[in-house]
Amino acid sequence: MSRLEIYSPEGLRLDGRRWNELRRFESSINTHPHAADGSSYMEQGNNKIITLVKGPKEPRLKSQMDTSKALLNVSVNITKFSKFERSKSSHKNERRVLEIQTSLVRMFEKNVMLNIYPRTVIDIEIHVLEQDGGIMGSLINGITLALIDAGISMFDYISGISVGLYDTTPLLDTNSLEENAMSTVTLGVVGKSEKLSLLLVEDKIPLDRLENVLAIGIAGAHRVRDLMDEELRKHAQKRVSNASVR
Amino acid sequence: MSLSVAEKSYLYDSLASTPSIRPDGRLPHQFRPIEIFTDFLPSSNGSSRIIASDGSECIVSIKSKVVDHHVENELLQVDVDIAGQRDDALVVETITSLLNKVLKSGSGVDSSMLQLTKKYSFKIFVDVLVISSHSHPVSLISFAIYSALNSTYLPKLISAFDDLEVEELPTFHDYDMVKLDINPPLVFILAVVGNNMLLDPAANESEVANNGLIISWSNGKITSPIRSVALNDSNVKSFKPHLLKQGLAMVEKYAPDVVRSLENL
Amino acid sequence: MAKDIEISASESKFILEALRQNYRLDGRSFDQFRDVEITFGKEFGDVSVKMGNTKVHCRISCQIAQPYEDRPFEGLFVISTEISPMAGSQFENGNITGEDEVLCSRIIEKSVRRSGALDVEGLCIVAGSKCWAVRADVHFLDCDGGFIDASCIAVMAGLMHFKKPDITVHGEQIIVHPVNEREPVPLGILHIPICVTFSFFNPQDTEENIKGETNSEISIIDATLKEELLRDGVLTVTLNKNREVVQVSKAGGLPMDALTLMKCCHEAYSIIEKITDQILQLLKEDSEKRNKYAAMLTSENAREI
Repeated sequence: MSRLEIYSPEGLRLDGRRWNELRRFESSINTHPHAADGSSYMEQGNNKIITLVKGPKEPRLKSQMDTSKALLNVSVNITKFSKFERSKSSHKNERRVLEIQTSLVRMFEKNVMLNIYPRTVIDIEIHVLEQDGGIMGSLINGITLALIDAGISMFDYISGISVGLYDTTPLLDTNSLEENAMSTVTLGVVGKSEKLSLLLVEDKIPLDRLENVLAIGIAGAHRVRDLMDEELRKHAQKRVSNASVR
Repeated sequence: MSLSVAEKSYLYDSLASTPSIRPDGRLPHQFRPIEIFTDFLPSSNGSSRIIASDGSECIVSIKSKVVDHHVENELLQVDVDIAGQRDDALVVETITSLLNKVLKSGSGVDSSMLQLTKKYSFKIFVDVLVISSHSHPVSLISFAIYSALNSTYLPKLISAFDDLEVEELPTFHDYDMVKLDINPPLVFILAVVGNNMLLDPAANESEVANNGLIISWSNGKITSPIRSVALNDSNVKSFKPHLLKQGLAMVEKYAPDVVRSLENL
Repeated sequence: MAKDIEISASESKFILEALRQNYRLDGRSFDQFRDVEITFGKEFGDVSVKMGNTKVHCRISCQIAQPYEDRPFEGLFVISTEISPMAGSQFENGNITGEDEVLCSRIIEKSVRRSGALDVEGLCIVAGSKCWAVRADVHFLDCDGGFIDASCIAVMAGLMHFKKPDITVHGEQIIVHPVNEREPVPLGILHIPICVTFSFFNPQDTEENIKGETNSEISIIDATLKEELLRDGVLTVTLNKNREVVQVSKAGGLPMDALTLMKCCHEAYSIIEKITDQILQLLKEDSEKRNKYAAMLTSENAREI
């Protein structure tokens, strides 16, 4: 007799994690050197995301050009096969996806030093191959990594994470089963600070519990930032040692 | 691809000469190296990722659904998404319809392998995502589809085959899977330059080609669709029928080797 | 193609410097929401909301329809927040994919539809075949900022004001009673979400905001149009009187300290309390006005107090 217990009395979640454990986080950068100026591939739990950054480059239409700063565009391609159930129709013009794209643009517009790339356009192309909850957080992480790989100047990392609230227990880094069972809060945290670039709550949550959930989310986001930083430094170290063996 | 007048002239002259001189030194029937990875999407029944040596990349996902085969005519459906192109762009729609014809159940693919019971069969959804492409991607996509289908596992049926008398929905084993065994067709693309036929044309070769040929290969022989396709906007010319014969002979000679190397992944 | 409003450099410098010195253009304090004027029309579900110079009108209507196949016990509910150049020449007609338009409609949808403010199960008539399809149409008449807040108030007031025709079900046949035959029935409202929008300004430079520790960003409640054009970030919080946060949307923009955002949520709560009470009070007054002869027409006996 097996029941699907979101949070067992022993403190274990459906996938065996504890309330404050992140899912498996694997990332690599410069995965598509031919297709883009900067690229990253990351897996957060079962989320598999390819992020390509093309730019700074000349805009296709001169009329779109801004003489004082670069223009940032984000396109998110949620594939039809990303979820367990294949989607019948394309998500390209869905309002939910447009909202995600706008949020991502507005987040990184404040983080990337656009004013040092005037008259150019930076295109960010994202392909979601598989999603299993907390997708917004993973999109943010993928973009941060790809922008760094592209060598585009920015002020700090932005790390994304989602936290759910199951009755009174906060659960860090929710997967899709958990997202369907409770309200989740998605945060985009700037570097090691407590400043939020993104705060997204889409389902009801008691006002008095929100602060605690935010605190746990920020701590989780800091850990994600450290994981990304570790991977980036490892990659840089490899590139430096490859370049200097001669 | 933007090439200067001098580059185009040099390329055309060397490709059209006898014997044909390709910029990377390949023989007319030689393919460039490719990398294929399979089975990396656990939520799909099969998946493959192909990376060509010029950086072109394509990902294919295979998903299945149980359908009533008296209602559904087509048991294989291909859907192509090329990054950066609209869904109704000409190149996307032509490739999608071509691949659907190639993989049409009954003529292209033996769909008896997909049947589950007297009433139900599996419907296979082939979703193609082309991340980047520098020349006509149809051949690359077909290699990816071939590898994906050949590494696809479908759930194993445990309920009865005859479900017309006693109406029941098919039920499946919790863990065991069955490898999908259909012989997927391949699509080859050739470039026509002067009097020469070249297999696996690179981006710069396609840019100066006079024409292109799309030839399908299934079950050890050439099959339809066979089409001509313009590989660029500037150099398109008609070609003599003997070149078509030459192209078909080339595919007949070298396709089995390609199939063998894809099988031995 | 609509032309964006271009605010002059002197005007923008003036407004920003005034904010640094704790002044707002209309004299409000930073945490003061504009006075909300709600007017109900003659028909049920006809509401006009006025906040300063922002005017918004909402009409609720309903008709019989077939429920979705995968939700046979629920009715249909659609909110339309299409903007037109009537509100201002910077808006384009029918542009539903513009960034701000998408954010506005998504926030209203999350606040009202997704949160279940309207009981859709109560709209079901015959499971799987007939249900009420309720439609809320928001018309933007004049733009001076605060469209999201004003539309949410208008939609909620409209839904609470609206009454649908009474129906009798005979098997598969439904009889819809005209309004003059039988009293129309109000909709089931499960909670009253109200949105409050905060706008953020950075008085120093970007470096200080991201790397510094001073947290000196300015936050104001309910920005007017000029303040909206100059803001660096925006947060929209939706709450109800049950102390529940219905939705929060800070879609990028100026990074703000988490504690400041929490403070904003708490400030928002005291504001929505007042607005909710105001809406309920006005609904009560409207219903009393409509039934002003109720005391005379009732057949109740006189009661000793």
